[in-house]
Amino acid sequence: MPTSTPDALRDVSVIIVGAGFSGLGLGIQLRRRGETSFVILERADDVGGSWRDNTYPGVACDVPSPLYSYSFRTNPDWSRMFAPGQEIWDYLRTAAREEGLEPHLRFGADMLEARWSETDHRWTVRTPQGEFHGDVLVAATGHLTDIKLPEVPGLDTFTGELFHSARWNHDFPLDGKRIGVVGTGASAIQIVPQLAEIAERLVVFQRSAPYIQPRRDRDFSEAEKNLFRRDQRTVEEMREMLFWYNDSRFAARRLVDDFLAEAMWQALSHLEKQVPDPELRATLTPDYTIGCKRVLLSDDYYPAVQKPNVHLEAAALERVAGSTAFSASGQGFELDVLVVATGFETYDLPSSYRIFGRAGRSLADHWSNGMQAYNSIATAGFPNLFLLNGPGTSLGHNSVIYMIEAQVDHLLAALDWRSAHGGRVLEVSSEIENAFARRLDEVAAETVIIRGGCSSWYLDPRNGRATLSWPDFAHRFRDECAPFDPAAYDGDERALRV
Amino acid sequence: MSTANTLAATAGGVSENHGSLHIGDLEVNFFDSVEERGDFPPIVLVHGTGGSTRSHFSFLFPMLAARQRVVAVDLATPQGPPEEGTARMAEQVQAVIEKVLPARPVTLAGYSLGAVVAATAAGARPDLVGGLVLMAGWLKTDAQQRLRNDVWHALRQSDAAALRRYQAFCAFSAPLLAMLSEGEIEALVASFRTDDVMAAQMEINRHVDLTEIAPKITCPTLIVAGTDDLMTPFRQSKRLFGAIADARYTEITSGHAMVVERPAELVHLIAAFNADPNEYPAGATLPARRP
Ligand SMILES: Cc1cc2nc3c(=O)[nH]c(=O)nc-3n(C[C@H](O)[C@H](O)[C@H](O)COP(=O)(O)OP(=O)(O)OC[C@H]3O[C@@H](n4cnc5c(N)ncnc54)[C@H](O)[C@@H]3O)c2cc1C
Repeated sequence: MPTSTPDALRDVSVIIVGAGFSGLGLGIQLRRRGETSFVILERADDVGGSWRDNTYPGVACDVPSPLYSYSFRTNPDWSRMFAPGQEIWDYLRTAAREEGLEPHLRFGADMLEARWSETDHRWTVRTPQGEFHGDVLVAATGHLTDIKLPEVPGLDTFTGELFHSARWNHDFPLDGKRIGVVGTGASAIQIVPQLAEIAERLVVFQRSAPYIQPRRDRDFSEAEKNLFRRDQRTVEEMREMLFWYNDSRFAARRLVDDFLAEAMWQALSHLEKQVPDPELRATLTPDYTIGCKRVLLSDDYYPAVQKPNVHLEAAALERVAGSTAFSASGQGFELDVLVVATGFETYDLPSSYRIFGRAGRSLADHWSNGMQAYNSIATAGFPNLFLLNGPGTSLGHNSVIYMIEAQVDHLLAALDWRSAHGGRVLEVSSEIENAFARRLDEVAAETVIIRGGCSSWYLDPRNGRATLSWPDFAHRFRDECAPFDPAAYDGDERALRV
Repeated sequence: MSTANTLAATAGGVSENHGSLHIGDLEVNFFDSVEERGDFPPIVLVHGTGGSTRSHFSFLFPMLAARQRVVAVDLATPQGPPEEGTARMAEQVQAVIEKVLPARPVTLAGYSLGAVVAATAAGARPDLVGGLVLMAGWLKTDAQQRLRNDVWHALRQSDAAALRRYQAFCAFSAPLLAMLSEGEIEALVASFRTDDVMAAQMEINRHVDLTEIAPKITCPTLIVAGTDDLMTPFRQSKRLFGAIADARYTEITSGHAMVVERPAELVHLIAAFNADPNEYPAGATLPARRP
């Protein structure tokens, strides 16, 4: 085990793994409360998580920036409604610096293994930077972070250049190239319009058409930004308006007829307006209920796929031979580059294979029937382990930052309670964990995630459960999961609020 | 009398039964989500002026019914002196509660004129009402409201098109209207309908006076005001806050049409209140929500 220079943070009260919105959000709150005994372990060489890794052309958020940011650190400087990824990354780097997190960050510190010790009731995390010990372990490792490549025969033998959208190769010039884009999800529809500008030929492999609604993006003027700076309340009001508007969109996810019809109309009238050719329009029309997969926002995707140099192949990529990519319809395309925009490991998280709780059992093993956690934050058999943005937190209709902040509040209250109770170990029973998961399953069963007739990354294909999703209003997550109730950790099912 | 359309609440696991009862020569329609979910008291919704369950609660009914039983009343507009209008309507609400949800406390939630009706019912029959939510309600019609009411009646006589524009202008908040495109404004304007029933309700609105009733309300009460409400300005909600003993108060950034502008925030407020009416003590102003 390589132990480098002595590190004052080898032994702390809280170890946070991951320096994205979740880990930094918790770190900022700890700092603001004057805590110093915590370390943030990050495998990469900078903070930012998703926003450090995703640098593809056109990358931007799809929840408006005034809302897609911390409530406790609103930002008057967003250049536009949907800020480019670089700005979001800068926002996080600035936040980490200004909030005093730098001394707490350890980069290149991949959590290789985290183990609970039954004897001293503490966690040990092994990393390439040595071992770290802590009373509490927080997995803020994300669930759109480990890339997933499609299982396509011959993909690894492709003779051209190949990379994933979240590992963009900026050194490879794409101008005038024949490019294939695999996938039509959130990343792909941002990438395609950019590549359509420069590619000699662009082939988009579409397994299933997404719903796309108008983006309504716009610049913030200097005068507006100045007002945001001068009157903080104006930013908050915009945030609140966006939040409650987004939350109202959950009615469509719950399949309430009027709102479902409205959501459908917003998407299909957009398609009709932008795509005159009925045949192409049919190809671009989804075959499931809106909201089952992530609803995308774009004004330039449909125009892009109609460019003469762009071909929309209405079939998945099936195999690759040399420089030829074959679709499931048997069509072959000669390509110089393949951009794989097929998303991430979502339901079977790599980090769960590295965390070992009581009796040396791995979290992945514990989750072999699908991941779940009491209040989306605590699991049975893993004392003093807390998960941020883990199971049951993903949203199709509102900002994930809101969910993360609710979890941080729960966690801070849990830490307070621990220190007021002699550092007692916090662990939930399987009964509590299962009861919570059952209730979420019941709620999800009434939503489009389960009933929408699609297979999405919200679902665990091993069991059909929507283990990643919070199947309700975002506000209800705060109402029900942000409060910390020690009774739940003592096995009292009456403490379940969902 | 408002007609009862079928409510769009049959999907998402929520279904509803439609029923009616007679009080004198008035037929009162109601909707019932039937299924009990969780241990929360049922919620009874009462719509506002010119509205119906369908037009005011197409969001609130199914979304609240996802977690607890919901009953909504379509008020029938009584003939007779307008001073007695709200009492007659409150009787309808009381009759529906007694028929559909006998012998158990309910949380009664009224919007606009429905808030006045709900408060009247809670004051008259404290045995029926365990909790009260008053959205965009008012205590006693004041001169500002009568002035608006005058303009409404004058436009109804003289200019139907202008009346619709005036209604849209009064119902929604300035920030919301400012955001809309011309087409969206026109669609909004066109959605306003007036008829003799609504005119009769506007007459009832002129004569609201809860000053005697409010002190008789004993149950926990949540008062929800819209910051940008021109029809029942938030100061009216504050007057209710002063007049009802066990009241707590909160504002949402919205015009009068809060059931359309901020429906998810209302679901949050009503559901949280229903789960624990005493989460905040009497006299409290709820902490600001900063999502
Ligand atoms: C392109 C893109 C656009 C998105 N747009 C939106 C949007 O508009 N709105 C929205 O709500 N959400 C959006 N999301 C979801 C987004 O992931 C979350 O909003 C948020 O960024 C998640 O933050 P996080 O800290 O939980 O996870 P991440 O940002 O994934 O951070 C996790 C961190 O943990 C580190 N890590 C993982 N495993 C280990 C390990 N074993 N050891 C050490 N470190 C580890 C990772 O390197 C990473 O830095 C988007 C995601 C992507 C990919």
